[in-house]
Amino acid sequence: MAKRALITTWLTLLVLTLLMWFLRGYRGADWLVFVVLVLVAIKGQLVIDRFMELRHAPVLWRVALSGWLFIVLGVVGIVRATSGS
Amino acid sequence: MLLVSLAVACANQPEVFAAGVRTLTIGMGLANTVALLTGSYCAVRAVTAIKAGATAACGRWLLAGAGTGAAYVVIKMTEYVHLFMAGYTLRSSTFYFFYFFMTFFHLMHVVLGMIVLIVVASRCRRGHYLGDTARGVGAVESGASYWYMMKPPLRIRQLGQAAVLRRALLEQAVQLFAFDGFLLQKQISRHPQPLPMLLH
Repeated sequence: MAKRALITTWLTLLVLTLLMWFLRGYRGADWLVFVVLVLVAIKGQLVIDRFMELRHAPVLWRVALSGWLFIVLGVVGIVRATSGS
Repeated sequence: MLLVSLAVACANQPEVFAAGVRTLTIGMGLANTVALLTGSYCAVRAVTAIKAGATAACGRWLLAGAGTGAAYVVIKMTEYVHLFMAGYTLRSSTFYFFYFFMTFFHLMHVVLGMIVLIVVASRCRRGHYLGDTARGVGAVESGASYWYMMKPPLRIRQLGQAAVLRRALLEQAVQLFAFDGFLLQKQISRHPQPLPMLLH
C-alpha cells in the first residue's frame, strides 16, 4: 500500500486512541460506552482493511474478520444496554 | 473462549472487577496502545519495503517494530511491579487472575515477536535476501504475521491451520482493546454494572 495511506491510517488510529483519553473525563455517563464501542469498531475496521491489507481480499476473509469484530462489539453493547438500570 | 469466560466472570462479580480496575493506571494503558499500534505500523512498512526490494529500509522498520515491543515490555513490567508491590498477585481475585494471565500471555507473544523481528532484521542487514526478493518477502511477511498477526489469511494458506486464525483474532482483540476495554472498565468502576470486556 502507498506510504501516505499507511501513515494516514497510523495517525488516524493514534488520534482515535487519544480521543478516548480525552473522553475519560466523561466516564460514568451512559452514552460513553457506545461512543467507545463505535470508536473501537472504526479502529478495528481500519486495522483489518489497511494494516492487514484485507481491503481487496476475497469477500469471505473480509466477512470473517469484520464479522468477528462486530459480533464481539455487538455482544458487549447488548449486554451493557440490557444490564443494570 | 477467554473472552467468553472473562465476560461471565465479570458479569458474576462486577464489584470485584470494578475494584480491580481501580488499581490500574489509565495512562499506562494508553501508552501501551500507542506502542502496539506503532509496532503494527512498523511491521506493515517493513513488508512494503521488502516488496519494493529495499532490504536495508526493511531492516530498519523491523528494528523499529522491535523497539516499540521493548517499550511495551517496559511499561507492562512497570505495571506488574506496581501491582506486586501493592500486594496483588494471580490469586488475589478473579480480576487479577484474568489480568495477569491474559496480559502475561500477550507479553510472552510480544517478547517472542521481538526476537523474530530482530532475527529477520539482522538477516536483512547482512544481505541475506539480496537478489532473492521472494524469499525476503516470505520471511518478512511471516515475521510481521507473528508480530500482531498482520496477515493471517496468508499464514493460514501457508499452514492450513484454523488455530492460526483463532490466535490471530485473539491477538487482534488484545491489541484493539488494550486501551479501549480498559477505559470501559474504568467507567463501570464508577458505575458498577456487569460488562463483558477484554481487560488489559
